[in-house]
Amino acid sequence: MKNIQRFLAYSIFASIISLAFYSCEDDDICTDEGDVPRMVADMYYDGTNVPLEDSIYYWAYVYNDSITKGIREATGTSKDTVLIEKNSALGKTSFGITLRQNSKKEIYYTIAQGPDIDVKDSITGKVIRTIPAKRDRLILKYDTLGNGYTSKACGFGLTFKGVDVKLVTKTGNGAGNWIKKIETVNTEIKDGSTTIIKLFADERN
Amino acid sequence: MVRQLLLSFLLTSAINFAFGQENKTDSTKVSVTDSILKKKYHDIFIGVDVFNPIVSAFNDKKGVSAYASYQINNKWHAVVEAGFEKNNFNEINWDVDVDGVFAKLGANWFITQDIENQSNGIYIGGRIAYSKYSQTINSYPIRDLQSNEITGTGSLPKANVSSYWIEAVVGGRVEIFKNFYGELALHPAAYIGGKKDQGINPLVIPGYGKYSGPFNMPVFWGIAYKIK
Repeated sequence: MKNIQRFLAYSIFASIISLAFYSCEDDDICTDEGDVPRMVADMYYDGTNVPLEDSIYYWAYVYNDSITKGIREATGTSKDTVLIEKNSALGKTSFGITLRQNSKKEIYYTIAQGPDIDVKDSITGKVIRTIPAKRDRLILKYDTLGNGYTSKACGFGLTFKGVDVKLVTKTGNGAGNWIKKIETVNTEIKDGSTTIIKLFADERN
Repeated sequence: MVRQLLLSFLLTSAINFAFGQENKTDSTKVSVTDSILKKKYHDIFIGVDVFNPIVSAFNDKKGVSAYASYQINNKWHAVVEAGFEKNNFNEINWDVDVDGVFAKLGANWFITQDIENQSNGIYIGGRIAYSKYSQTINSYPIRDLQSNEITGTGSLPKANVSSYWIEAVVGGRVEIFKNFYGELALHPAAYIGGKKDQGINPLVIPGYGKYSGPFNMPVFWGIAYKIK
């Protein structure tokens, strides 16, 4: 009887430890930002494979009627489009811009080399004019949506297949205002780190 | 991190508790029974888990496990465990079935033993464990990671996968009837790796349990028989 009592005492003690352990559950909320698909562009000096470091300001849009969910923001640039991201990458050789599934399967990017510069009156300090940074526009088109394993909490994340990116500031495949050429190096966007396009440009003056 | 600290604290407390209880007895008897401790036995035990079969009446986990141990010297026992298990993971929009076998190999070291019966006592130990099993993903969530909304579900057919992990062991054994012992052991376990289906981390593993982080706590609570 004494041994049985001891065994039961051990059991109760161990059960308390087990319950305490099981009460600590991991967080099962999907928060893995690194796996969110982004159109990642690496910048190079035109005609070389030498990385170009610069500060890039960018805006991403989709057609107004092509999405029904998510964050919308009035842009003023076009009544047909909505801004889905406005951001910058300062002093980088690479940047990643968001994209979103939409019925038109197109995302529009405006990319500026450096910030707009305000010229101020030397006496009053008021801005008398703004010199806009050189801007170019890209259009990303995709064919289909796929999915790939991300994590236990997130499940399978949507991926974008058959991706094609075009420089459209000027007609055809000619150079834009500051981007001389782009090259699509991956046609599926699965995460926020894989390079999708190489972007060739000159150093900012 | 919080889990590790909590577990360390609790296990340390348990061991201290056990030492504290046993040392009171030992301190009064050790001088007169020293010669008994030097006797060498090679006890062989076989044990069967009764905790999980009972619990299986109330959840999706079905299976049995057993072990055999061989006493190497006074303190050390080599241990082999084996079992099979069916289980299901049905949480956070996943529905996964697994079915397979597992085996564990390791040793126990008795930190305290009864003077009159050295098979009674509290031990710590370690295991390396391996499971080979089939995994069927009946449903997985497809998520638009930009909006963080689930847009659909998918499934994957049965696949043969495997996992291996390591376990620390803290347990106790007490003779209840002649040659029959009650035994309880906690096996805090850490997943190491294995063969995955399409890179999917395991959500439930036979012998390990549901994967809710890098650590888990399988429990053995059963009856052991001393063969010799």
